[in-house]
Amino acid sequence: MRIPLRVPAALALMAASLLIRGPAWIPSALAISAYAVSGYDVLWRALRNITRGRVFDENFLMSLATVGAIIIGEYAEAVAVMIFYQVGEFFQDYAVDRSRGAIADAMDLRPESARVLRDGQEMTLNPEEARVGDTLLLRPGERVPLDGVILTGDTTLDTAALTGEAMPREAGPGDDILSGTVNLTGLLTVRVSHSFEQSTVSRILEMVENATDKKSRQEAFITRFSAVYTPVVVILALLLAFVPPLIIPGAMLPDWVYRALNFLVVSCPCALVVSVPLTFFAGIGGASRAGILVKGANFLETLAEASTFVFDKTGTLTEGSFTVEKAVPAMGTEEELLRLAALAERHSNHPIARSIREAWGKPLDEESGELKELPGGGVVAEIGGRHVLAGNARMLASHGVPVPEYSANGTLVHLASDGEYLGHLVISDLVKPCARQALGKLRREGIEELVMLTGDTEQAGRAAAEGLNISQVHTGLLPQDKVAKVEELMARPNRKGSLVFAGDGVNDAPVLARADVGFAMGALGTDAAIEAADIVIMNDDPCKMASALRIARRTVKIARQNAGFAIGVKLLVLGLSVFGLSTLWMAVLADVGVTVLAILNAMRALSLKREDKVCVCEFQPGALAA
Amino acid sequence: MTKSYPIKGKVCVSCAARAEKKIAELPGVESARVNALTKKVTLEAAPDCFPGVALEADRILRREEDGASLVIGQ
Repeated sequence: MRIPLRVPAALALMAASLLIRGPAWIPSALAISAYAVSGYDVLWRALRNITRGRVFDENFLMSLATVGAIIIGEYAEAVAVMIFYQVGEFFQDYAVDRSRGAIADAMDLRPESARVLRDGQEMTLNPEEARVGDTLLLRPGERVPLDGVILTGDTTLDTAALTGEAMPREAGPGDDILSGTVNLTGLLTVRVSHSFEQSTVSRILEMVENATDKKSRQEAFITRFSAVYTPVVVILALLLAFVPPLIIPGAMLPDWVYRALNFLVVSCPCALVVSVPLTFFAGIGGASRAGILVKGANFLETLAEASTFVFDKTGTLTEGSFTVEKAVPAMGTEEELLRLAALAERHSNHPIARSIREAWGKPLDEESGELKELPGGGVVAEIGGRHVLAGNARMLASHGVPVPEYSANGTLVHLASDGEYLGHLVISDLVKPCARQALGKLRREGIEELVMLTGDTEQAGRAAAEGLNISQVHTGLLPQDKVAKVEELMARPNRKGSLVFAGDGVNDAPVLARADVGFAMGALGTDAAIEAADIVIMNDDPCKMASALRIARRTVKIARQNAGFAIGVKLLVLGLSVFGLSTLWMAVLADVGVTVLAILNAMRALSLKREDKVCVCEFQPGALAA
Repeated sequence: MTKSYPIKGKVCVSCAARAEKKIAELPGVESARVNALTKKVTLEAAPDCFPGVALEADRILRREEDGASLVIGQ
């Protein structure tokens, strides 16, 4: 029978037992019935679990306490306590279900159906039934059910559900479109590229769900703690019940038994055991709404303790694509310098060559003769009868052209023709608009140590670091050097907190794995990064790191609050019950009431502050040449 | 191989922890996780241990929490 029916029935019986006059056995019988109605399942479970070898559990404690109360004649109290307990348990279940629902809703990316065109027939399918290669139809306002490539139609997409980003993104034919986003304006046909299981939405949901599989240290501790705790408490209760009457003169057994019962009831660790995992669950859910995917509750904990942030430069703090910032000719015009450089670099695949070609932008009308690329140096070319060199200072020097000393913010590509120095181009990797502000936010959160690692040259590294106000920079690092550097930083004896590494995931996998917490940026769709990192930031925004840090700290704080509150109240009432100052009422309240409050508190971890959902940065203009 | 099974019915957090410990001790099971919040049991074992370990896990879960069982589809 359901609780909502049983409780009033038990109350009625109890009321009857208190009001009806008659032979002594009638009130007692009514009271016992009231007790049976309210508590039969608890008693049954207690007995069943004993036969299975599990003696000390909640059911047992409550049964023992209430049966004990009946034995010492406190019928009303036994019934009241049992009713109160059942109501509390009911409400607790309800609260946990509601929490789970709220978390699921907060992450609700799942669409219910997909409209697909097959063999000229339009049909509405379960997204799971759609196949790769199917043509998906999307109307304005619909949530995209599957990953794919746009075939026809232009639109703007709301990616907020995945990235937490408020700015809509434009997309047209040939662009990728991801499940979980909302198609805002256009009518689209899309070729499905991934099955529902493999789609972005499913993978994100799975990752977030499974994140609570990796327990935080707090949770692991509480699990061990409660296994030991209950037997200890029962033993203490027995001692409390029987020892004082034997050794203290004038102590009455029923008195002490009552106190021991109290003790038993208060001692249940439910509040701790439920609220801490729920807090982390909520924290992970909240983070995912901000576009931050946390892969384990333990990472949230470790992140909260961060004292050092290490960044990979290219792709994390900078855009990762080179741009020609300016052309500095020693003779002739800027345009001529750039044109010559573009001609020399026309066939090279090096990102620097690409940036030069892009900066030129116009078709190359002159023929380039023999081109030879020197790795780590530059290009030697025959152009219009001239012997042209385009490369770094070292390369030019080794070909007999001395290069004047220049210092600049970036990589320099020098040009020489027939032994004469023509000038240089300054090529730099632009710092992301939000990067400086993101680092400022981290500092404001109390992160004192910010370190930049890069495989780029010292000049380029220094330049970026200065722009971002980072004092510790290490340049010219190969991937294995980066791992070594991170290990070195982590091995310092006076290290206080954890070390966080942020990289773009593509070639930072070993470092991400080595650091205490690894952040991957701009991972929308990148498999490698999602695999290697502990926390994935769905868009490119460095600002989210500060948000992640704040969310982590808040979650851990709430979990600690709950633990502290639960333990504190329990110890207090335990103490009171030893001295006979608490009633069974108070004991049940201390147990059930604390649990419910802890659960409600845990839900706070789900809500986000505005600044964590949307990063607003000042725009930093970059300079472009010619 | 890792397989996940949804849990039907309610599981209390401490029951889940106890079941998890016992399931992890089953022969053939490399790791086990009983998550009361997401209501999922995740088992890691050699491919030919399935569905045997899943059925065993279901038995253990039922013992720990009345009214809870694994949904082992096929």
